[in-house]
Amino acid sequence: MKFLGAISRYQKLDPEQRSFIGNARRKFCSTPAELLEFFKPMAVFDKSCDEARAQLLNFVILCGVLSFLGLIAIGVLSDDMPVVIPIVAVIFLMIFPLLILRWLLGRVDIHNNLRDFVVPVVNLIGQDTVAGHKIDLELDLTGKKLASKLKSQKKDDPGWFSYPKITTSIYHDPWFRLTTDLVDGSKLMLTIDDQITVIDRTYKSMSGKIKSKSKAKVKHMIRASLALRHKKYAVATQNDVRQLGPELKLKDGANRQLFSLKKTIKTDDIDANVDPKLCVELLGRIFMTVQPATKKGS
Amino acid sequence: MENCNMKRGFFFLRDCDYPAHQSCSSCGKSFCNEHLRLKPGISAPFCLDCLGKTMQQSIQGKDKGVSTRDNYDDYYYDTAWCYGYRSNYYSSGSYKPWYFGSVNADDSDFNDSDIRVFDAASESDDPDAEAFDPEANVFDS
Amino acid sequence: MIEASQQVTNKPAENITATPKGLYAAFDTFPAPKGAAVHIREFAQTLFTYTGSGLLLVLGDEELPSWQIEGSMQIRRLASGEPNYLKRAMQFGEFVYAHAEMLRNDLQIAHFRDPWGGIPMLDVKNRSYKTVYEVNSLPSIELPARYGNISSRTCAKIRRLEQRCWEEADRIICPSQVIRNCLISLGASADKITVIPNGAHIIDAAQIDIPADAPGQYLIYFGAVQSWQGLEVLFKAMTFLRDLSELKLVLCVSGSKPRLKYLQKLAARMSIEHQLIWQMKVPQIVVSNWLAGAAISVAPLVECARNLTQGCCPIKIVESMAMAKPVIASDLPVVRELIDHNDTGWLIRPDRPSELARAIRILLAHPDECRRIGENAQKKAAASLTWATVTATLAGIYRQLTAENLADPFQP
Repeated sequence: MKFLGAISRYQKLDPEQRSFIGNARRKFCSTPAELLEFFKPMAVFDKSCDEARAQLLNFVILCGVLSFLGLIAIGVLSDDMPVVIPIVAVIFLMIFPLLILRWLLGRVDIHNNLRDFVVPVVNLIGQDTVAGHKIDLELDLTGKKLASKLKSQKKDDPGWFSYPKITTSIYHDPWFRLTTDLVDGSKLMLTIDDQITVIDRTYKSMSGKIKSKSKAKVKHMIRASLALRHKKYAVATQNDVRQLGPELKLKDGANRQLFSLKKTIKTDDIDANVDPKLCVELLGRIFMTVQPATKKGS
Repeated sequence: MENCNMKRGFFFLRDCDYPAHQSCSSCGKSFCNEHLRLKPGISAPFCLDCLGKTMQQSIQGKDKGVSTRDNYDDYYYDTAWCYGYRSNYYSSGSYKPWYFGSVNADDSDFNDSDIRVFDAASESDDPDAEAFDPEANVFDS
Repeated sequence: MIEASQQVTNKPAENITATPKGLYAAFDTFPAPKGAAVHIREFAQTLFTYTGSGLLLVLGDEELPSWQIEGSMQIRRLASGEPNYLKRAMQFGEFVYAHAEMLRNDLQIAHFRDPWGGIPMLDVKNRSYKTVYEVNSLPSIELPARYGNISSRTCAKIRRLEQRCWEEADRIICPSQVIRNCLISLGASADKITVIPNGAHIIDAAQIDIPADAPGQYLIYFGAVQSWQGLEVLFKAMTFLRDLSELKLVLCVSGSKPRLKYLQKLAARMSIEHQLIWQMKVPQIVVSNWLAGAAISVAPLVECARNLTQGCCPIKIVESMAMAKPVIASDLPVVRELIDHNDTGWLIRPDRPSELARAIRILLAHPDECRRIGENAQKKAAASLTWATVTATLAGIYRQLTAENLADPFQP
């Protein structure tokens, strides 16, 4: 019974963590160790919560199938097996508490991006920050289709009883912002903005029925920026870094040179989490391209 | 006293300055307490590199059953995970870590980017250059 | 060279079971048909004769045994199939360290030829042995010629290893004054460095069987074929000598396949292939046979950083002198240490094919002069460049080191 484990883990969370699960939106300014200490129990809970919900769904399906088979058995055996009726009734009635439990766990569920993206990225970036140095982190895991995130909406309605009717809604969800200084003196900024396009289509089927379909497309726009110090890294020209491709933006400053790389990932799954590897690879590509500054006198 | 043998960091590797306390049961090198964990199941001290690699192997073999990863739940959201992840990342060939930062690494150690220059395939295409040949003597006086 | 080999193998195996007192490490295949292998054998033998027993750590291949006993010398070979040079070097380092650590209380002297064997010997803590660093070349200077992609950072790391070797070794020996000056300019202590040139065995060419298929008159080049050896200059000079239809150039060479293939193509492009006789990777005995019949030996070294700054001691010149063969060589400081112009050899300005061709014509046209120069060269070799003389100097250094060790037994 995994839901028992999930409930027990939820009860172990402190009020601050429960509150974060409730709002799923917050700005942090803490050391990587503090952030991990804060997120780790929630990540472990979220994992067990997902497993518990999956298990509960399986139980609901099992109960439904057993109830159906029970009803058939009652019909076939009629009065011969009076014990079957209460058993079938109990199995059928179990479906409701299981569904309620699953719904309750769903209410305290948090987007998988927390445990599969935020925690690993903070963990990895934390390896290269100076001990005790803080990370500025802005998270918004509230949901991608909130009214407040609606950027534009276009309705294509041919009129009364005319089909298809298509509504295209575009949401903008800037859910991840991380800024910190690395151990080599570079300033790092990682951002992820999701753009969700939801197409709701109402149409008349061949049989004359009115049907509705909703389709979502998600674009994860990941941007990794590194402001490298001239003291540490040789100033690069566009020609030096042309292998980084046209997505690179290069900006020169008095003491630093800013490298900014973008990557866009498309998916149809609105709940899909972002792979931390995508961010790591963008940063890795920049570090693999730049050259160390020549030491004076050498 | 011997210093911890762990290299800390992800994009930049630096030496760990803490004194070593115990040896890793897998690789035998000495590490400080921060870089040692008890391996689930056998309760023997493992360094984060060895433990991380074991965790990555169990994650990659997750199709066989979730239970393997469950064993490492305590370490999955911990620094130990980073050490296995970086080992996989480096070996994928897409990144070679730098040896500089606020803490100087022992730069007489050869890292992967030094070594790859000496691959037989990396020898200069110039016909003037020498290709690998065990019998060839580059240092013939 | 052949005699030397027989001397070693014919010695009674009196110390087979004795714990080695001397350790010699060379990151090189041994034995092999090249000058470095002769050098290793002579020096290792000197060390082991001095210490009474010894262990030679070298590279091997599939055909060579990993463990071999030759008289008082044990040979252990690391047969690594690793194609990456640096990984192979590091494997060799571990191999040397394991042996040096095991024998740290027994060894009196440990001798190394390169940092790959040297650093592990110096890493052994509480060691009882003294160390000798034999610098024939510096990998930080020579490797960039072979691996074009080496970064300055990697070279600097190799240089730091070399630096540690010359700083921490108790004695440094090198085969030429140029190498000594190079090491001093890099910061090595002049007091520690002794120049011990390469040696050779004095051989009477008349006693040697010239190959049956040898042409009537020929020049000889023998040795490795790296770019700094100047074979391109020699080939160009051969184009100026086409009128001497009887004259051939015998090339007893070893080197990498691509380089040898390139040189063959170059010869074809220059239309001199009919003037050349290739003898590739032949044993030393065959080289000696060809040298015995040669009119002139040629060493057209290039004026490059490797020859000018780092320095060398071309064993081909010493061996030619020991067989009374006149040598035409480039006028470089490393060559002037061995040859006086028109007395013990003939010097030409480096990288001048026409001058080289003219020198060959002059010497061929005056066989008496040629003979005089050869004889003078042999006299000089007999006086100062025999293996006996050279190894006596080396044994003197070992003696000093063991005396120091006895005087200060607590010195690590």
